[in-house]
Amino acid sequence: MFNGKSHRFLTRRDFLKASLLATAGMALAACTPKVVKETVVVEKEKVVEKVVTEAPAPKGKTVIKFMQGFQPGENEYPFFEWARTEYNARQQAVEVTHMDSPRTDMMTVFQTMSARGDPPDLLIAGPINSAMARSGVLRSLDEFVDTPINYGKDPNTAWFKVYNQALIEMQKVDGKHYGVPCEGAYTFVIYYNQDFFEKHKTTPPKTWTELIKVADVYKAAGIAPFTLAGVWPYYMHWWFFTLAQRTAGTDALVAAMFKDKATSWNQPDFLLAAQEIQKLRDGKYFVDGFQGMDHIASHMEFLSSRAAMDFVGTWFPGEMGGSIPADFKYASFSFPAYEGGKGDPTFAQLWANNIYNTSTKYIPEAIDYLKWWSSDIVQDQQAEMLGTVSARAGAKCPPVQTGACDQVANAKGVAGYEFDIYGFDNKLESAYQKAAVEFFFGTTDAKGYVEGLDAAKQAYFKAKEG
Amino acid sequence: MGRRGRNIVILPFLAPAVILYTVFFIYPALRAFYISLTDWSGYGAAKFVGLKNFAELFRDKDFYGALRHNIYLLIFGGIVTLSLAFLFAVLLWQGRIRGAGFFRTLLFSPSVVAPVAIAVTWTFVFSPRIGLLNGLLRSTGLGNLARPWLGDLKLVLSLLMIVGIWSAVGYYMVLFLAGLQRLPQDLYDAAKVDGAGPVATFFTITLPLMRDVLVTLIGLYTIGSFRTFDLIWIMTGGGPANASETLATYMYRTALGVVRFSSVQRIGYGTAVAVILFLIVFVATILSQRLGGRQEVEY
Repeated sequence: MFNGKSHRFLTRRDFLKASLLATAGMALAACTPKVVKETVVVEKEKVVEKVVTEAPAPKGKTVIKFMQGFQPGENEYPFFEWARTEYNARQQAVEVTHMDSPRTDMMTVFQTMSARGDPPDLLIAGPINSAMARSGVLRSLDEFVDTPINYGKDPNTAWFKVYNQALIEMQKVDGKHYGVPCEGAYTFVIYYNQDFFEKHKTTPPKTWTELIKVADVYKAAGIAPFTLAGVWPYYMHWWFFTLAQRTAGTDALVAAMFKDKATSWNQPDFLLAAQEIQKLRDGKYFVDGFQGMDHIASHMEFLSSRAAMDFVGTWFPGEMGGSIPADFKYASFSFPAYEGGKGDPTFAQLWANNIYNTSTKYIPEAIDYLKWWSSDIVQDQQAEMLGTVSARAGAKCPPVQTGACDQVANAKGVAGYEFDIYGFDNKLESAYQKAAVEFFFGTTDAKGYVEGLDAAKQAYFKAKEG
Repeated sequence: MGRRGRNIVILPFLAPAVILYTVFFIYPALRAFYISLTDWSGYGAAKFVGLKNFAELFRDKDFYGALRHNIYLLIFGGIVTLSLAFLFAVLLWQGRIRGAGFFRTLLFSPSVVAPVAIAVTWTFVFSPRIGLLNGLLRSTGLGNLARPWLGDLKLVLSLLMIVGIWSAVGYYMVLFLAGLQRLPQDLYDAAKVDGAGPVATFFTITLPLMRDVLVTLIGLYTIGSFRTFDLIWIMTGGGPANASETLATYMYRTALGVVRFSSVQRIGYGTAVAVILFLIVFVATILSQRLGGRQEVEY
């Protein structure tokens, strides 16, 4: 390739010199302090840009970066865009931009950005995470909670007074507020197919006995009473825990779950709940083949009218929004009471998706946007567009969520105990899920299940304590 | 050009790659060893805890369960994958099959499909209600054999292994083919003259001459098998009841707490799993090289 002519322009010696020069340049670039900073920042930003796309920042305005976990094409995204656009239209000096990071990578991106000292101004991150709060990456909101909300029909109301107070209290970490529960209140309910209920003349049950009677109607009609996910075991063990709360009471349940190492699962009230679930299992009340279904496939059984009821969290309308047939009519009811049970039937496992104010430089601006989200304007629109149950008292309730809204509004007791703030961590949850799978799949009976829960709990504490 | 002169020529060419490799691979890998000695949620400072994570890991039943699954996938998956790949390669190499090019392409095609797409496709195949497999069984009067495949605690790992074999055979077949094509024809001609049949030829000429390729591919398969993540994570998430958990899925689940984005992350503990995984793969690779790679192939 190198002919005589080209040799005159670039000899091998020249080429080597150039290569050495380039390498030396790279080495210098890596060693010179001023350039190091720029190089590192540029490299890190490049990494982040692969995951996060930011809207261009308009000049002359304070730009608030909001990392929100939804991407274009997802059901939730248009609502987030609506909230942002409406807010920006009302502002002269502030512009909110979205960082459309995928939920699965979002926390890793957030950790990376925090580590380099440039976190987003706002972050939506699900129920409050005490490890995150205690690490110092979140700013306490205590000094702002009693300031006026500024937006909507009640602009002079103290900001946090607009929310369900039990929920607000539940989410404190070390007595401090870190999150604003403005992205919805979540609890478990049972959704039902309204067409089925009308056709078979069944009504939403209030008690466990009534629930079984309703389920028997569908079994007799050749319709699976309940759908269930086996590959995604989350719902299986919450079937049991929810019923166990009704039979044994909240304190006993929480003690057995994690709070008291000595409290055994192997006691009559928990065994009773397990035996009731075993009757459902052995009586084939769950959809055929549920063992091989993930949560989406399971929900599709309900949405395809192959199952009459679906025990799921109130995120269901938002999560499945795009897959719900236009003519599919559904509504929800609270998990029924257990006759003679020790548990408060108004109790709800309630938690909220929060928007956190991270360590922002723009405190008043970020707080203002959180207040906007807390206003009835945004909360009602969220209910309208996503079918979300609001944590704001008196907010609009989507028609499909009436049961859930009642549950949230009337709950005398709430608990966020499935989350780390109360010590129920992944490892223990995973061990309990394993026991639930074995029980629901028929490998163990009710007695074996509660013993399995005990064994899982003891193994967890043993490993933890060394 | 003397040795020193050669080094001067080589160094500038190597330096950029070495620098990049050091910064983006060697340093993070060494850093992982340090992180495995800490208790760290991903936020704030990591707390140094010495070997506590490893001590906990060695008492962890889930860890041993995942390791057992890895060994199962390695041994049975490896034997079937490499045997089939070798068999197909020999058949195609011998040229006795009509349309060899077509079959080669057909067998290799899963290797060019993204593992995510393979996982999603097979999830549909195994779906209990709308799946191809159960549909086929029901339509042929074998409905009593239909089952929730990926929800079967005893079958799920084997099913994942079958999908893994299906997707990997073509890749290993092509590598075997490349090895076979360098074998000298005169040895086969001589064997033919001596009256050796196809089986004797295979065991006395082909297999010994392919020993180095086989050892290399066993090493590659070992590494690949322990690293398998995407297929399992998408199809079962390591479940149900940890029945398909492997070290890679266990590491991910523990380190990144992916159940929900509010989950507690134990990055130090998860990294300890990663370190063990690295050591296993490292030792397995060295062993496989030592056991079979030393003998030079002589024609």
